[in-house]
Amino acid sequence: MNTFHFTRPARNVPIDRALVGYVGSGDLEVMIDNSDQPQADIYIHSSAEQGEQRWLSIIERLEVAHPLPAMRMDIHDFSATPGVIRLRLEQALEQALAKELSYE
Amino acid sequence: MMTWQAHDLLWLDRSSLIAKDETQGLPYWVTEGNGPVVVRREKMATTTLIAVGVRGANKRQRYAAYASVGAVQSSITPYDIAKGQAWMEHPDRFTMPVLQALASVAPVLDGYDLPWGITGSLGYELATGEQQIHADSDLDLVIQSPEPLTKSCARDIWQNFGELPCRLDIQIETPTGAIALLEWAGQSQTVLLKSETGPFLVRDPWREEVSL
Repeated sequence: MNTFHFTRPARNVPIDRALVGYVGSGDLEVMIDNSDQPQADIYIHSSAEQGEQRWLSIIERLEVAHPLPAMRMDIHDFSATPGVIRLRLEQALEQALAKELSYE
Repeated sequence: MMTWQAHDLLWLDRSSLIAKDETQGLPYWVTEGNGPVVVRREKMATTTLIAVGVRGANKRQRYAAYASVGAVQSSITPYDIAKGQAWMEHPDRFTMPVLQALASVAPVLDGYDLPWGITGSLGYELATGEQQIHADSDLDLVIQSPEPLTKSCARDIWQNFGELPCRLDIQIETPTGAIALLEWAGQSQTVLLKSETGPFLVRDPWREEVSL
């Protein structure tokens, strides 16, 4: 089991707690919680062999389309494919930012 | 013509497999090993090839390939494996958590009018007699549900299992792909559908329409 921690720049917007995904092989669980920090703290626990660089590039790609809110995000990855990871991260952010998105 | 579904086990001559990555040959452990291959979920442009996965001795040995329909000698579905009830005679049935869990889950599933089957390492072991399960194995099952299964029914099924000695992963097969029973029973507006063309988030996994 690998553990990584990333600190990323974030927007100061209100969020709701979010929990999406599934603890099962080929899938992952993503939790978003409020944070008193001005940044996005992302903690990743992964059973996959791939390392830190792969996760960093996944997060960097996510940020382009979805600027991150200040939050604590916990990811439990069970060897999901990049496609599944991307869907789950977007699903979690959408849930966390539901209020903001509904005003747009 | 015979058609196969994801999780079906196929016996064939492994040297006839076609590597998914054509630039590389089949790994030695694929051709030297024996035992059936597992049908994968992948949309095929031709009806003469089947997408399959090969299981090796450990989790790192997993290999994606294609099999030619003509090479298949015999096959078994997860539903056949469950109907065979071989787990009831398994020598480790009182000690292995995955077998103890199955003994409590099977009668619950039998109470619903839904075909269910055994996949994963236990399904493979029951079909082949080759030792695959260990003390930390999950119980992987599949439910066939061509008609929509309501969320309340999914919750009802899950609650009836009670406390289990190992992790349980049940996939529901719909006409469009597969979803996790536990996720369908949850609160989320969308669920992850594993389809032949890849994963999607959908609201209704019984309809083709993709929500995102």
